[in-house]
Amino acid sequence: MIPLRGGGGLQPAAVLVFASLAALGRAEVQGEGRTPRPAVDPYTQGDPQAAKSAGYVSFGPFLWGDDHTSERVQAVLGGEPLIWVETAHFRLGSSLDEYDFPSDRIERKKLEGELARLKERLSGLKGKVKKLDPWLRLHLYALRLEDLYSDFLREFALEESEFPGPAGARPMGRGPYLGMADKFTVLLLEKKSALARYTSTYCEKAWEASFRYYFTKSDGLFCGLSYDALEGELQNDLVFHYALVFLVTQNLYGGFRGYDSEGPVWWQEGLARWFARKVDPRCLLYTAGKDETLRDELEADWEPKVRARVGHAYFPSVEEMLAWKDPEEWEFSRHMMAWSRVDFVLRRDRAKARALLMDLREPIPWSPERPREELLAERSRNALQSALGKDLAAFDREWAAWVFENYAKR
Amino acid sequence: MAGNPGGVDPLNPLAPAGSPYLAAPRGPTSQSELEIRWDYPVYAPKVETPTGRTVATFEKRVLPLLEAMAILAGADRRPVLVLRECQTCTGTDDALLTRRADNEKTMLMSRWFHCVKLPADVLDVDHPFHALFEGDSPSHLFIADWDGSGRTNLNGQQSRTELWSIMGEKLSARYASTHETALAELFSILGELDALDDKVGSLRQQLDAEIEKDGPKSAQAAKIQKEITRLANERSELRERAVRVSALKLKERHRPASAGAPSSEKA
Repeated sequence: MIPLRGGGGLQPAAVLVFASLAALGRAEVQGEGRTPRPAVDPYTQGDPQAAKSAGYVSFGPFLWGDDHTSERVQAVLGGEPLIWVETAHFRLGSSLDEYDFPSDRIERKKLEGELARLKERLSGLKGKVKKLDPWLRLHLYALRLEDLYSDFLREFALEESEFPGPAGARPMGRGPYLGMADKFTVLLLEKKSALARYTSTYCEKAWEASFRYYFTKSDGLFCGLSYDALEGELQNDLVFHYALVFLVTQNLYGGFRGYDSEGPVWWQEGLARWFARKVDPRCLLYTAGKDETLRDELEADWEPKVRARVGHAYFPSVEEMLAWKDPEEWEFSRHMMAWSRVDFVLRRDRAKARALLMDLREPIPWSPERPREELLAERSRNALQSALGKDLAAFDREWAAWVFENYAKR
Repeated sequence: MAGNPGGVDPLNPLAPAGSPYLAAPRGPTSQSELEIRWDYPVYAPKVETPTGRTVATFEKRVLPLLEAMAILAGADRRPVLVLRECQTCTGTDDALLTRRADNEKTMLMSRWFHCVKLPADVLDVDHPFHALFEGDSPSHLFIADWDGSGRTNLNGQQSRTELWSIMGEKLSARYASTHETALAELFSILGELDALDDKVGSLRQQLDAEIEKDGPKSAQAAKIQKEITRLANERSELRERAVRVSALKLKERHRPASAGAPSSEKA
């Protein structure tokens, strides 16, 4: 879908499905326009010590991607009111507007927990929060991104100190960020137009909803999302967080041991879904195909559905799954199946999960004799066999037995 | 609907016609037909670095009007609909162009325009595209020929009917065949697509439920699958019909371009 670059292309991140829930849309006229952002973060007052205590390296300006800085991004995006922060593993830019405290009980509870944690870090955050102002949203997303990074390390039994690893050992990439030389960059934009301008200028083609991209020179992975690509009932902070985790997980995976190419698609999608469902398992974003309406959240209870299929011995073998391509063409059940396979790997044995991740991301030397596609398929097959210590048919059988034993019947 | 209280616009049967109720949301296929395909030009000429790489530079150089229009239009010879975003009156422009039932006619008509969205800072005197929105009270959007001639400025406060009338005039002037017939047919196609989307979506869920209940060999599952295939084919044919209906031919143009010569001002 997008030009290949740096040895492999990035999917357009299953473009935020124009979810079709409702075109009831937004308020027709908001009236006042966009809230201006204070130039200095009101929660740290720009104090270096306060920023450090909050886990920040900088509020910008900084180098952003290949040959461009955060200031240049600001210039290209024109009037977009951007604010910036750099954490231990991410550089984040946001133009998200103020957000009212939600009425959804689950979203509310989640936010309360996150804000309680933020209060421990941000001395300027006090009292009851009724609205999330743009700076507070930036802090929240910085926290969420770092949480995801830690979670990724934990689930795969990885240590920060392993990257890039000593010379002579099994290569772990070029740099300290899971193997990437540069930090992961994330741009959260209120408007689709802003993302389109950014991607058309720096990522070769305009994308309005979401996009992932590899910067070859800085060796960094970028992810951008626009909030107003979500429509109707989907336009809320919880779904946006889900989308962010879905996309950034793919960058963490793609960057692990250095970026060369991605896939297999089923694993990558399943992995992204597995982490995203921790945000909200009710959300079915990115499960509707091009001509499909996003299903109701009643369809989000996947364990009984997968179990029922296993009960009828009706499921794709992993051999078949290795051939799956564009997730936008997938039928709904494929998303469940991909998630469930990853669930099987990650919930059982972290050492094996780690071994599989290592093998799936084993660098592939360039070969003049064999097409890269063929080498990638071979790497995936070998990884599944060697890391899990079994042939693919045995993997299918074990997964099915595990599902039958562990998933709720209804 | 202005001028037609209680009636139904034959070109837009889903528009609220004296009814307090919103129309049913469109299905995914209709929604994609209704999407405005915006272009978001950024003036960032590529330059070669000393190492031989090509990088985008963002120049703060005001382009002359003709050059700005030429960059905006590229090779596209459709008339343009150019909108500038605004930080202080969010919504007045979007209200006309956001996907809502009462905007569907605008959405559908947009396919015959090259739609361009510029950022709010186009009002800055040093913005490369500033020449398009000069003056003390610049318009919010304008409609023009691809080279900037025959321009009509709009301030974003106009009613939908005014907007449709201006869009319609431009389409009649620039296209060899009438858009009105195409619009009527497109509205009818949207209705059919919605019905198909609805049926296919519901059948897909039924199929999954059936498989999970009785397994893939269930007779019912096979029947549902067959029906899904039939309806999906029907939907593909409809989409192809929408493409054919939308393919209006531009008129040949002989007169030379004279960008910026406004034909009218609607403020």
